[in-house]
Amino acid sequence: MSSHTDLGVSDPFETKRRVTWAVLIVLAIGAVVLAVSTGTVPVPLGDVGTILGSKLGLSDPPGGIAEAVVWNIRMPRLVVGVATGAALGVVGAVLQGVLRNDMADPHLLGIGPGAAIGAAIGASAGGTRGAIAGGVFAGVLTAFVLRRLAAGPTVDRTRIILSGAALSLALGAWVGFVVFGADRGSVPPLEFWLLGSLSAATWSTASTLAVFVLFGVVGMFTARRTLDVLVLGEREARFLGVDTYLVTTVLLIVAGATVGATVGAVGVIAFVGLLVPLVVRFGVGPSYRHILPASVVAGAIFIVAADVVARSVMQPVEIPVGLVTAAVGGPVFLWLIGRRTNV
Amino acid sequence: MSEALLTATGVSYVIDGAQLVDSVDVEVPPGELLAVLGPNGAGKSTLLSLLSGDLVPSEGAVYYSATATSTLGDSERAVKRAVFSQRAPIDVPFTARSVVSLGRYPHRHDDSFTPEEDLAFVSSAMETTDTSGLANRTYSTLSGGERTRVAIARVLAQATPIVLLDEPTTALDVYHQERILQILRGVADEGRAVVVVLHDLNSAATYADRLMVMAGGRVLTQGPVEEVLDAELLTDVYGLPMAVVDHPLRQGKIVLVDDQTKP
Repeated sequence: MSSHTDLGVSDPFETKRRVTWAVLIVLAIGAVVLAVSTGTVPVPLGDVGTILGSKLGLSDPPGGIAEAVVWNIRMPRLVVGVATGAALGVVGAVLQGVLRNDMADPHLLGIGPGAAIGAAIGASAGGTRGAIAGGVFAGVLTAFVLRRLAAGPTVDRTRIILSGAALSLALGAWVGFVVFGADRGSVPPLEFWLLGSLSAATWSTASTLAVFVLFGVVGMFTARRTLDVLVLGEREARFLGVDTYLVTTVLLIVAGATVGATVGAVGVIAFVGLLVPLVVRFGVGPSYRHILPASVVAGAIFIVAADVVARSVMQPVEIPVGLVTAAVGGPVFLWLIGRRTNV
Repeated sequence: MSEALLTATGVSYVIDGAQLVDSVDVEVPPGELLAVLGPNGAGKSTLLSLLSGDLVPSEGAVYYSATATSTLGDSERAVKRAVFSQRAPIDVPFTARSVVSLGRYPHRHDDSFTPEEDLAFVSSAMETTDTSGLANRTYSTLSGGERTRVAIARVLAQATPIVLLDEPTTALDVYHQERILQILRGVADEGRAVVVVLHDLNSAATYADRLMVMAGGRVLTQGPVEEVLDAELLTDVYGLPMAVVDHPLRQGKIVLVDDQTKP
């Protein structure tokens, strides 16, 4: 069914949505420009253009350190950032929808820390791709545990959040046991897993992650109308023909796999999945048809911009990107919650 | 099976050893408005849940036309019956029109409906329920009466042959109670089968074709309005002395409660 706006029916959010998308596009361009041009080796934007053009065969390769920095370091890092942000934004929106709780976030619910256990084990066995595979596997497993904890034909909104919080803390500790028990040379340190970092991004990481995120995000997009129906409550959704048990289980598992892939690549980055859907809802309205695409873009902007801050704020030291997202995300979240009259 | 749109045969529901519904038989042909009456705890809402397929009967079976509901999936049931529930959440951020549009969700894979037709169902349901003026209002900010009418519009937009409603007039003023029952009367007159749980005996008597009186999970009686409106039976069911008298303004009967605290 196409949107009503196509049929000339007014939608009170239409103007606001146009403004929101204009802002998102400007911010996205700004974040990308900063991501490719800033760093310890400053590369003018024109040179970035030449380097990227040469990869498309439009100009001669300029060579030198600038090319290596832009193409081998910053571009894969940008792709990993975009994929991670898109994944976390959409997964956050989907979890908040299926669990009907604004506090739902893949990492607060334990999926991130759970995936990190698998990713750390995978890293010791098979490097970055092993970490992503382990993250996906453990992410799905944690999502399944979460589903069982909140079991029953209907989801208990409070219980799943409390279970998830406990799961998150417990599994976070287990990441530590794995990391300290493993060979230091082959497994990234605990701060990488629990605070996140894009510094290890390579084209290999970027391409593997991008495939998982693409499948996950496209899969979750197909549920957008069902997510709208779920806003009416599980019982009403069943009356409208939604198999709520199946939909909740499948979406949790897809969310677990998608988040697991990002954890394998960059570790746990907090607050993105929590904050992005909340902010986006203010700008595009309550329908998932609009929330999901806007969450892709807003999530990507958030991570890419936070990564620019993480690598430039204490130069030459790079701080974990999760510190930046939490430092910014915490106050914004509190402000948003304070603005709402009926939490 | 007969030509009834909705049939239940010997339907019972037992949970934790409590028999909430006890071998109920019911048949609702097209065009009929059946009102289910009875004191609190009589099993009316449970019966409605069984008819909707939300609960599975412990015994007996429910049929939509000739098809047993047990053989239908959630999405197949949703194109055959729509449900108004008194327990639906109110903190819904959508506009009234979006809520009504969700009534078209069960038909999303049906290519026989174009977007224009879907929209026509939504618009006509909103006109019928006098909610067109609320289209762009946020559902959670509507008054109780407005919300009920929007929810009924959603049920109508679902365009199902069977419509089930659990106490749609509860907490509404007299005007809105009457309006909603008039709407439901119109829905039945379109040839649909309507089952509505009501508390108000007089609105049931005015608008329904048949009444069903339940108590303790059993059907005490069901039949045409004038047969069921029996002072002795109602006195027995509700434990209050009642009288059934001619309506002073038009044809039909009304029920009066004899308040024993007054001399």
